[in-house]
Amino acid sequence: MTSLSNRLIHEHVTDLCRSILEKSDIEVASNASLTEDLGLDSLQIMQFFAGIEALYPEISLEEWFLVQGGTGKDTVQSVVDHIDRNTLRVAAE
Amino acid sequence: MLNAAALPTFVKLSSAVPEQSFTQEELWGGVFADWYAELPNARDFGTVTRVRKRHMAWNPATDLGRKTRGIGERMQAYVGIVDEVAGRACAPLIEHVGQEDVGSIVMASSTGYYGPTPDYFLAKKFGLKPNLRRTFIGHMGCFAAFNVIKTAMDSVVARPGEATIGVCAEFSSLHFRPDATREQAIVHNLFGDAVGAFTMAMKEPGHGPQILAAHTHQSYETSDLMTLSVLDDGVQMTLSPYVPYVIASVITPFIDDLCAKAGVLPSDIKHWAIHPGGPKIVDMVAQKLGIPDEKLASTWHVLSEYGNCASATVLLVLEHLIAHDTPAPGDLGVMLAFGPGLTVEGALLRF
Repeated sequence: MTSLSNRLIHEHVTDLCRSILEKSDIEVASNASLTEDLGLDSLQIMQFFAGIEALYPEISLEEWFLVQGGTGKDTVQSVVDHIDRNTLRVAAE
Repeated sequence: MLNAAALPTFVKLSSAVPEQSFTQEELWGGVFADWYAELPNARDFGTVTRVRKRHMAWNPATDLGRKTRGIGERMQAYVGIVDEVAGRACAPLIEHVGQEDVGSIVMASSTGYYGPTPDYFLAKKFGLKPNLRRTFIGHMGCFAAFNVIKTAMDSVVARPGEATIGVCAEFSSLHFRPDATREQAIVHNLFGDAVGAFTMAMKEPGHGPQILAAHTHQSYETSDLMTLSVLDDGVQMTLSPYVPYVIASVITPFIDDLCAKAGVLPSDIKHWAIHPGGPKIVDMVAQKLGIPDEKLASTWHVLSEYGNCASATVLLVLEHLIAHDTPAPGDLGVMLAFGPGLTVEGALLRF
């Protein structure tokens, strides 16, 4: 079962993708790769990182892109799970 | 004791490029506009790479046009161009050191293969000794200058009376292909051809940049972020948008480790010769390390005027830095390059 926080983070991440792509009406699937499926290039990836940092200043995406940066592994859900996991960790500390 | 000791030293650097060169505008006017017609905002790739001009063995407009070519044709072209351009790069080195003093030659390339390898023909061209030690390093990518440098270091440390010639020869234009993808558009707007070469010998201070330390870091989780694959129609490079971020994430501890090997502080580094893999890599590395833009003049110059020339690039940057940044005797500098793995390679220099 997906937690409330996971669903909220999912909404934030997909909204951010739509905003960067300047396409407010597109479907952003959980399993969509940021680079392969959504087609974010290096400048847009930079916008994405900046957007996540603004939304979740306590979260670093470094561990995420070191593991999930490979071809097709950089899915929307992998970012959501990384943020969710680390938000809980930060809250527990 | 280290201050006056003989260490592996770049006693001379040299470089050469194919005769024909093209500005980004000429390439777009010639063929890129056609190749990338279906890509939105494709023309931006010509400017975001910060490349102004490149030298190329093949003119993409006339040697490729709308078609691709087989690996055999590409390798045939490599055989001719590598001997000519690497020959021009090595001529001043041999003139400076003398044939009899050259004990080894080490050469890297990721853009061509045949045997005997090109170093054999260079040795023959310059009348080097028949007992010359030869090493050819293939397919390691943009950081391979460091594999050449480290092999040369081993040679001169083991046989301090001999000099070693190091050569990095790259002709990426021989692998261009009319694939209309954003990734290939970036690659084709970034890479150029060049040969960088050096003579290394064991020398006391005052004969050229001495190498105080070398360091390597491989990130084992990121192997598919940058790849070189041999296809039926050439070597295809892939380049993930995450590459600059991964490099930036490891660069500070990397420099700390490199400097620690020689007992110096990162804040003591006055000169930077950074492989311009792409503008964002340079920007992010500079930001992480706090390098002021004026210290990147040679890096930006080489990117602008030659493009990313793979393994040859960092040698071109060092050559330009020595000529234009005029390091004072005793100044410390760092050379850096990045490539498939992802791998970061570096060397600490004392001028």
